[in-house]
Amino acid sequence: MLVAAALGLLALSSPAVARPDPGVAPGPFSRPGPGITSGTGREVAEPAYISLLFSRSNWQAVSGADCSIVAPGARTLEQNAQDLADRGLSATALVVINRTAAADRTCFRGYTSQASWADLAHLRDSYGWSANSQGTAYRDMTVMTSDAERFAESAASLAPLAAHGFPRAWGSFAFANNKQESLSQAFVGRYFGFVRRYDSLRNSRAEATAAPYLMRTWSLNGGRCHNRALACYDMPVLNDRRSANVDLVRTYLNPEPGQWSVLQAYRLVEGTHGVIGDTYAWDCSSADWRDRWTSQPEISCRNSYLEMVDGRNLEAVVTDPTTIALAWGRVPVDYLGWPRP
Amino acid sequence: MKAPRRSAVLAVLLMVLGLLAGALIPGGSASAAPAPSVSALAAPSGPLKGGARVRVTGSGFVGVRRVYFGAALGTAVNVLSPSTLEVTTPARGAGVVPVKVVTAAGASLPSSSSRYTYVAPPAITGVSPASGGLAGGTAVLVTGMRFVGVTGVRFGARAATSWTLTSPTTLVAIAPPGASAGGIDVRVITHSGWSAPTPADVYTYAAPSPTLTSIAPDAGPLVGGGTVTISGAGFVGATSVTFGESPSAFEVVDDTTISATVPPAAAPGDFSVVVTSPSGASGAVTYTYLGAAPELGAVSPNIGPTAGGNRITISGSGFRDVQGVVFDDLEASEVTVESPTRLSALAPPHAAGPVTVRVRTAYGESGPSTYTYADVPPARALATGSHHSCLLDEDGGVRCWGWNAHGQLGDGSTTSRSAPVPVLGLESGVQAIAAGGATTCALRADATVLCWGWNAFGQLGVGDSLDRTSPEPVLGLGAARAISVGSGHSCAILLSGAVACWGWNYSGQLGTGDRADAAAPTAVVGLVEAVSAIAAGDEHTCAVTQAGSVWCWGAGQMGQLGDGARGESSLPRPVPAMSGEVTALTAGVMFTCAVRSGQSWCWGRNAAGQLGDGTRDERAVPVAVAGLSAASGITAGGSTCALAGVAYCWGANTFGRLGDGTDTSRTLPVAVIGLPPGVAALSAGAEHACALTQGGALFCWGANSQGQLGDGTLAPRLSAVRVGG
Repeated sequence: MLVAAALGLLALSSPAVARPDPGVAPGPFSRPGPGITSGTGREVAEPAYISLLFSRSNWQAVSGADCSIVAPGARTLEQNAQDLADRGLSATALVVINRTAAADRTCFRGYTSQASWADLAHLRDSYGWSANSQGTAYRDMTVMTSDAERFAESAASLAPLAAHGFPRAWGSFAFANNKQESLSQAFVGRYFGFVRRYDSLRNSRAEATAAPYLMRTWSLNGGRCHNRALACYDMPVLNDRRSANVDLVRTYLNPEPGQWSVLQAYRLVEGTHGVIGDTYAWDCSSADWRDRWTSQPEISCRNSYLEMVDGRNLEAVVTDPTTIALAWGRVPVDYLGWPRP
Repeated sequence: MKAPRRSAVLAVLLMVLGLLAGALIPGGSASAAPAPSVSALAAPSGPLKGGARVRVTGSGFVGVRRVYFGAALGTAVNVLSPSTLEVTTPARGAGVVPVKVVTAAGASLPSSSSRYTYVAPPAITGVSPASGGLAGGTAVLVTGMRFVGVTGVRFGARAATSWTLTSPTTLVAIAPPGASAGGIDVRVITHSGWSAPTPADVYTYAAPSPTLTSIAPDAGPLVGGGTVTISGAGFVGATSVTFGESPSAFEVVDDTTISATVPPAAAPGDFSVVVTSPSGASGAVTYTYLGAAPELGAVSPNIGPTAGGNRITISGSGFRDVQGVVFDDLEASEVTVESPTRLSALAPPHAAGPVTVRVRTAYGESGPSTYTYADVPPARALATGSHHSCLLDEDGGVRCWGWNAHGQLGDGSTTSRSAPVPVLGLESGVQAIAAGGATTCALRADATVLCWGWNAFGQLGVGDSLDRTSPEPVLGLGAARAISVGSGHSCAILLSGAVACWGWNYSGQLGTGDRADAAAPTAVVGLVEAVSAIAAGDEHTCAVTQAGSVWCWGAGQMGQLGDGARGESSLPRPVPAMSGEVTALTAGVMFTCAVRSGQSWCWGRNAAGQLGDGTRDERAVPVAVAGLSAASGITAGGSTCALAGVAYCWGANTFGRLGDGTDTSRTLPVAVIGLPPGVAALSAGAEHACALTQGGALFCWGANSQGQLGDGTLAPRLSAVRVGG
């Protein structure tokens, strides 16, 4: 009671100065505050922001027509969440509505199992994860000719997300396969804070809060190794992809105040599995990231990923796109609250 | 006398010789004849090859020795009499030659009567018209060459009824009756021969104009499409079949039968059916288009008061010659037919319950559609969630309507409703109601609180996160005297004046100092005074203390906490500008409004003008709503409404949620249209709003896709409509 009264008096009598939000909950997950507030209006010390995304809420790298082949080193999304939670961090799952079952993890094209709504709720409740939209049916919006189609693919995904306990999914929209053009960007920008576009540049507030409200995102790739002396340097990989340069990504994850870095991963693995030439294989065993390889562009080594994350600007606020949208005043014009039918 | 005996013998000898000469030369005469003359040639022309037999008429054809055609000698002379002979013409080139008869007495002299023309047979280059009826009688102009010595004109095997030579290149012939329809050659015949058949001389006997005897069936629906059989004659070669002025697709089965597809008609009635061919048009037979019985599509609204008198609109088809609209056996009044697919009428009075509605026309009666008579009891309170609405009636019962996917209507189902339905177990005894998001709560007279609907964040306060379709008691709340429901959390004012909240706490909107969601009530920390009013918004909460001051907590990035700061707060913070004399408070989507000393104030998000200050500038401190004075109540959802004598709204106006008859967003208050005097309360949802009159009548306007307006339809309304029709 006294504490409450003291807090109340503090609220009444404190001068209008910057003060940290006291709300880091000792609850089941740790959610960092969104930044520093001030009593005079806008934030006097613009924080640096980082968002960690996981595309299409892939649960785990698998193989086989029915996804029955699961290598021991294939990390689940929850294991990734635990890795981040160990660092006091949370990530954002990008959700494709039609690929998300209520409680079962579905097999998608034999290369990944998909997180269920129950999984996502668990990630939210236990690890503080959020969810943003990656569309209703993963359709190419550049070929759509009507707003009804665009709405069905983008804005309509917000209702099921809210219904499943993610009412703040409006923070960003991820176009299927990164395919976008001015029409689809303009439409999506009416309902979402930002639209994801792959890039290796950091976001600035000025650019991100101006149309088309791009959320430049580094898409983390696996693939060939970086050591010319090894066979993995020239091994066959889809689109001849080479795994991400850890040093470059570490640099990217060091935004300045007022900047925002967004890193998107897919499926993480560890150890070794298979051999060069296999479609479901990797070797993450080397202590040197340059020697590591994976067989698919969307499979990355866990240790490489964590080295990137650990090399980030530790002063940066790691939070979800919605929080940043609110912090930067980027609430979409057609935002009508939630829940929606 | 012996010498005259020699002259007598000589005379006898001469007479015998004369007689002998007469015998050797037929026709000859021993007596001295006059010289011959030609007076006429029966055929004054003939072919170049000769061989024509010509009868020559004249005189002195005695002792004919030769007959010449020019210089050429005719052959096979046959003297029939001294005035007639026949001769065969010799071959000659084309031209005119004199015919000369030579006898002992001399030669005939040339004259116009003795001219003979050598000419080739005629040729036809055209006939016009080239067709005519089988009955004949058509005057046909025949054109060609060498119409000299024409002796006849043939139409096929039949001679022309008559003909008149008009020049060596033209003649007019009257066509005789034809044996049958079809083409025949016209031939001109001269002394030189017949014209050779060519395509240019073809004359066609056309069939007679068609005649109709019957059509079967002789009636059908307006839409057409059926097949009829037309009987008659002369159908071969038919070029069209028409029903009135509409052409029909048809097939000529034979000369007496046509199969035709009936074209559609715009209106019922008798239409003439005509068959046309090159020979002409037939007479008509009659086909009757029957009007179709009406079909009912929808009755809107499909619910109304037992007193009747409300106008309902009926859509469908076949609304022609409308005779009435019946509700069971009762006739509707003031039936107005707007088009064949839409009419309206005033519902008659009727006892409560469902009835069937039918439309009657001269062509039949429609099938039934259901209309429900139900009286919405006078209400004394109302509440709106994001897309549903509820009323509290005078008996303390609760009814809800609109979106129900989470069971927020409390009727035990998840079926959305466009008209009020009773909340299970709350037929009486409720003191107050509150709604927000997809959740509804009720405060009973015994100070207990029950909630139902969406519960993903524990906002029902029942200890878990499962939705409920009927009311359940909030756990461990204690005695309450006011409630408020936001998008994902709920709050209550306890009898002590303390506040408890439960549900989603992502932004600290539960006011507990942390961010842990709560599935059961938790005390709001830091309110130093007892609270008299509470308002739960989308992600923030505000309260009015008994001293009339406002405190807010939760999400504040849009300035909705009102203290000038932007950011979240999990503990209550005072709104300095709202210190004292606040009488009303409401929390919407990222903004807050209050009434202080009759003046309305708002702060927070303003992208659509929902703060009512004439701008779209976000405000972190309260700004006065322009143009409103003496406000007694205010409500914020997606837009804002206030009661200042009459109802006003401002902000976003999609689906007409401002009720001003338009869908134009407003940054300043506009009056709601369609409300009677005496509005007592207002409540705003995400895209709709409702009003309660002092008499207990309810009106709503705005979006209606879930039936949240309660008028029995799903049509949005730009102005207020009565709940319950």
